[in-house]
Amino acid sequence: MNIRPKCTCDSASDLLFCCSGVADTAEIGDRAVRALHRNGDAKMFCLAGIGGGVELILLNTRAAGRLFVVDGCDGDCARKTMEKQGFSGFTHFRVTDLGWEKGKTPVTAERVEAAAAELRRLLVETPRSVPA
Amino acid sequence: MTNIQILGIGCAKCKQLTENAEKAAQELGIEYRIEKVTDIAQIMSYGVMMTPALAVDGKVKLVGKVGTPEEIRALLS
Repeated sequence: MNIRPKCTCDSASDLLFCCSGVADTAEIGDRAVRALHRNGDAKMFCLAGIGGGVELILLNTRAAGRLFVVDGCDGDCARKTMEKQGFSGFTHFRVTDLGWEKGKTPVTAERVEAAAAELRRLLVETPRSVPA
Repeated sequence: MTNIQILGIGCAKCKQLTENAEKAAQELGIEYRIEKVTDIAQIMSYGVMMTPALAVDGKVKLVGKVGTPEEIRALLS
């Protein structure tokens, strides 16, 4: 039987970016984003590619449906990296907004799941629109 | 000879992109060849996450949109 693959022209992906920094709260964010990626909730994409201006990464990101940007702390490195490349209108989530202090929050499965749950909530509640 | 690859499984948007690419190439008066890449695995191998997409001589130039002939002309020239 010849099964025609589903066309992807009308289903722009949601992309997740994370600062993936050194701090504990950044690691929690990174692990949460990877969990969502593995689960198929959205696709994790390379923030380093954005910062490096890698053309293919930029083209794919501009074509994405919704963008979600995760920072571990209020340094907001991921948000600033996105903005430097001209991206705006994305949903921003800061892990420390969950009430955790950078440097004093050991990485645990429970905290990773709590951050992932917050990201899932944002994925559900954020309206679908074309990114700016 | 410029090789223009249209990446997409062949829906209306892919067909429109193909038409626009042909128009752009003809307007520029360049020698060209259009190749339709419809296999999902092959499309993914280009690093493209959204279709339709357009590559010129194997290099991806447009992702997730139907470029106008004007846009494509700029990519080809």
